[in-house]
Amino acid sequence: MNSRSVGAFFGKELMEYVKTTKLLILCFSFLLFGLLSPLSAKYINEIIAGVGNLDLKLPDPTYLDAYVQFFKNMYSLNILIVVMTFMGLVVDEKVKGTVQMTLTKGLSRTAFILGKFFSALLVFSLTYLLAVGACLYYTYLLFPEFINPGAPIAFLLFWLYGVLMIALTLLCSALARSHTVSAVGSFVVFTLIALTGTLPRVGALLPGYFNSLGMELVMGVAGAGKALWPGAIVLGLIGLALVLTLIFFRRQEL
Amino acid sequence: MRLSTDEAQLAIETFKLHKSFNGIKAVNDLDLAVPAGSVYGFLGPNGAGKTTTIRMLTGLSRPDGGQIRICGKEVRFASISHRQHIGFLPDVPSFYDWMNAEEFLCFSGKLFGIDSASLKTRIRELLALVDLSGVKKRIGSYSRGMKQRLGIAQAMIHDPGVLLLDEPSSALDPIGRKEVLQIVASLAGKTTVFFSSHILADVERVCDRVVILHKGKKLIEGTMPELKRLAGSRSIQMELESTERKAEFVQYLSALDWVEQVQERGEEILLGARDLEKAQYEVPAILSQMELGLRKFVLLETSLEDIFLNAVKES
Repeated sequence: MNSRSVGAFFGKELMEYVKTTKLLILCFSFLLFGLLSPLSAKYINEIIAGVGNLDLKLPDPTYLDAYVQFFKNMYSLNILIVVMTFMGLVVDEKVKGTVQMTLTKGLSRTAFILGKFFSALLVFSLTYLLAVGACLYYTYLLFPEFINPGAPIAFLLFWLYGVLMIALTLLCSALARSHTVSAVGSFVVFTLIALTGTLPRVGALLPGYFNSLGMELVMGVAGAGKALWPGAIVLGLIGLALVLTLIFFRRQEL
Repeated sequence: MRLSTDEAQLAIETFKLHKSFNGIKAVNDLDLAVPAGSVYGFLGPNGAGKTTTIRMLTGLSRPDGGQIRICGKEVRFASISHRQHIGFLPDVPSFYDWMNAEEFLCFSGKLFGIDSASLKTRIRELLALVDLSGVKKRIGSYSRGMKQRLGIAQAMIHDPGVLLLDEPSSALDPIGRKEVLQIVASLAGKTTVFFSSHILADVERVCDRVVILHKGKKLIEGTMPELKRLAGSRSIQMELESTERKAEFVQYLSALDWVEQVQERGEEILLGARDLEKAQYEVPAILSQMELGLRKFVLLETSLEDIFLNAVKES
């Protein structure tokens, strides 16, 4: 493996996000939900009033509602968009046949998988940063206060959750030989991971707990210490998913 | 290690290479010895095991057994150590459609670690070779012929010792086929070309050595003249200036010991010879001796198609 070939492949991956619509979709969805979260939190009563005959009045919104809304959106809709964007990472190249062109040149299979993972990670991180920036800025604009001690950890946890979903989606994509199998596998994994938080007794130690933990951290009902175990398990799962992807992909006939 | 150690002479060597799918032998104890610098025709009907063999040669597919060596380097499944020596064009070449030809060649070159200055020159040379210079449009809008030509260029980007071309002309229209075959023919002597095809005419046109594969087994191998000799190219077609003494001439020929048979087909005489070389100089001498004029004298060559069909029939 030489650094020039690894760099060339990583560069190609990043350029592919720009040249295709993937980067645009991620930027748009993250920015949209980053902006909409504080906006919808601020104007929720006006929105309800505008619906019509609903005789419902919620308490006056606070900046906490903006963050809660943000994490609700991220853990439900945005993470799904992330999974959909990245589930073709490897299988797309296998189905099209470009993997044969690339892996008969000076690029190892390990570099191929790691190049895929780290480019996806970079794109996800940058677009997520857009969402965080948009959320913070609009919360600052719309509410009298916006600084929350639990928010940085909560933001970090979602990033970690996203990285886990990318690693698991990559695994499904590397194992699959068709887009359908990759998609089904990714959605099954996505659902299972989300449901782990609801398991009795062990739920609070598993990745699915991040979903509610983010909001609890922002609301101040949970401390950062509660993120340690599920955080460690998520890191372990990311590592395990990558190792399994490498093992399977290196044994796979292409 | 049973493979030859004569690295300078052989570009590709396989020993007892085999591979099965669901119990069916796709490649069956295949021994190949491809001389360096040759354009080697790898001929066989669809399903003969050509693509499976090539995929094992590239390291994309794992053999069930046997050995492969390319330019002296042992090929191991998924390894990169031999890749510097091979350039590969799959049967259906796929590219990143959003790139243009120059970008794809640049990407391919960088994957081999070629420095930017050398790469620029190499890309210019290759684009000229495959007639894609100045084509700036995205690969996604290319015709099949253009993609195939670009496929050859990308396979040659690092100046490999061996070019593995899997059915490079099979899916093309006559113009595209001609263009691809011209490129392959131009590579003769410069690099070793392993040319897989089921189109006999293409192989006959560009290859100097041919192996015929059927049901994963090697049926016959040799240079084109060797194969034709083996297949028994022993006929001469003649036409005399005048038919008046044709019967006399036929009768004279029939009595000769090196003549197998003589047939009259209208004005033509078809001479089957046991020794074709002898016939080639004896017949003109007899004609001269009998003072007969000659209008036509054609050495009937056995086509690769005849050889192929015979080999498959006999297998």
